[in-house]
Amino acid sequence: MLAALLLADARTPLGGHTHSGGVEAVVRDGTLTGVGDLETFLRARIRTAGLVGAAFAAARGFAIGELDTEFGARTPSPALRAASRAQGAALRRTGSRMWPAPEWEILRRPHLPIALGIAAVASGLDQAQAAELSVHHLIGGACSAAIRLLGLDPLAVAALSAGLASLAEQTAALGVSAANTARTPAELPSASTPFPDVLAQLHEQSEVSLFAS
Amino acid sequence: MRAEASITARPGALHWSEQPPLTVRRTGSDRCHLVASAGGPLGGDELALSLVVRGRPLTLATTAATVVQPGPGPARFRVRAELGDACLNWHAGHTVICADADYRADFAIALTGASRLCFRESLSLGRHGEPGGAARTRIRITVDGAPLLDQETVLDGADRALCGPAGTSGMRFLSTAVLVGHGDVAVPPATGRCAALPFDGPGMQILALGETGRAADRAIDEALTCVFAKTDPP
Repeated sequence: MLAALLLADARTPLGGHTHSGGVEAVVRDGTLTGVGDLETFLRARIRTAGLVGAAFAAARGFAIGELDTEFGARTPSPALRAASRAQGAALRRTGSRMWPAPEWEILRRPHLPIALGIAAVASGLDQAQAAELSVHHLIGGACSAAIRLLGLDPLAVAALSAGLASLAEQTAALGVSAANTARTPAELPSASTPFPDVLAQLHEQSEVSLFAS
Repeated sequence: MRAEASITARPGALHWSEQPPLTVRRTGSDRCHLVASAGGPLGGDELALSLVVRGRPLTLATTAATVVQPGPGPARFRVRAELGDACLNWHAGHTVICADADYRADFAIALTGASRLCFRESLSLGRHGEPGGAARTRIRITVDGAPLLDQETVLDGADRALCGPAGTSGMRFLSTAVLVGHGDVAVPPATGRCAALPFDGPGMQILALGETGRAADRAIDEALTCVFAKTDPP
């Protein structure tokens, strides 16, 4: 349990604070302006990118390298691949010190859900905890970025996070079940929506931004 | 309705088999058109197409927009394509997802290092003035067995979240192009509604959202012009 709390804690140096989970790009585009939009944004992200991340974080018994390649194929935006690898590398740096395990040595810059899966196994978390952590990071990253970028009321955003808990838990459970049904990593989910991919490239081209992605 | 069609293209030979409503018409030396000979698909229909292309180019296009209508279950369209030393140009017209329809498409395209692919697809949420139904289209492309792209696009004109800032941002038209194996081509810059996404492997995907189907298609056309500015288009 303590391991799960440490992995979910923003004070553990995992590097997530430099990424907005796509929020900065939609704020700049003018399509996300308040708490209501943030909820709409997250309800789509959780069911798509959240489901994929949860399934990959919960996947067990597959080769780490193969999982990593499959996740890369599910991330067509080079900007989002770079962001995922940067966060995975940061998690590896800290996680391998917290819970040493040989799996950390396989990839120097694993994608974030792959690193979360390694951390979960190394620290003794179960699949559901790994999947929930993955969705939790997606929500937490977007919420804290939205507060900083738009000056949203932190209490309203905290209430929103709590309100999203049942969707997050449902999605994590779907991710675990997809991870357990998949006979090969190729069968893991690949749900996506177009607008975040389009904006991620535009964000990468912009000269001034607060977050790396 | 269930139907299966297959096309095999080899040097000197172009064979196909068909079952209505999947009708194949040869329209050029290296070109076929898929004709939806019974309208639809309707919910509950299961259509499958398999393609094998080796040692020659093949262009496959559709004669008109495909209009997916509601029915007792999802309307499914499953495509399996296998390419050797060949070039496949897949140019589908708009697939219109009517209100309350549920469309599931699944494209699995197996390439080798000697294959070239240009795959264009357009989805429209609803007919004129209609919000549109649900679509899940999965495309998986492998090169010599290794995954290059695996993407299930989730759209639903009646789902507020999927039409919002992390979905389609209120736009009802999505056009995509996937290019593989065209060598060292230019990557067009992103605009607010269209972006080229280079893979780690040999190719890229171009995504365009639009308020109209023509706007989304034009954005793809312009991006492709930029990609092939210095080389010959497929």
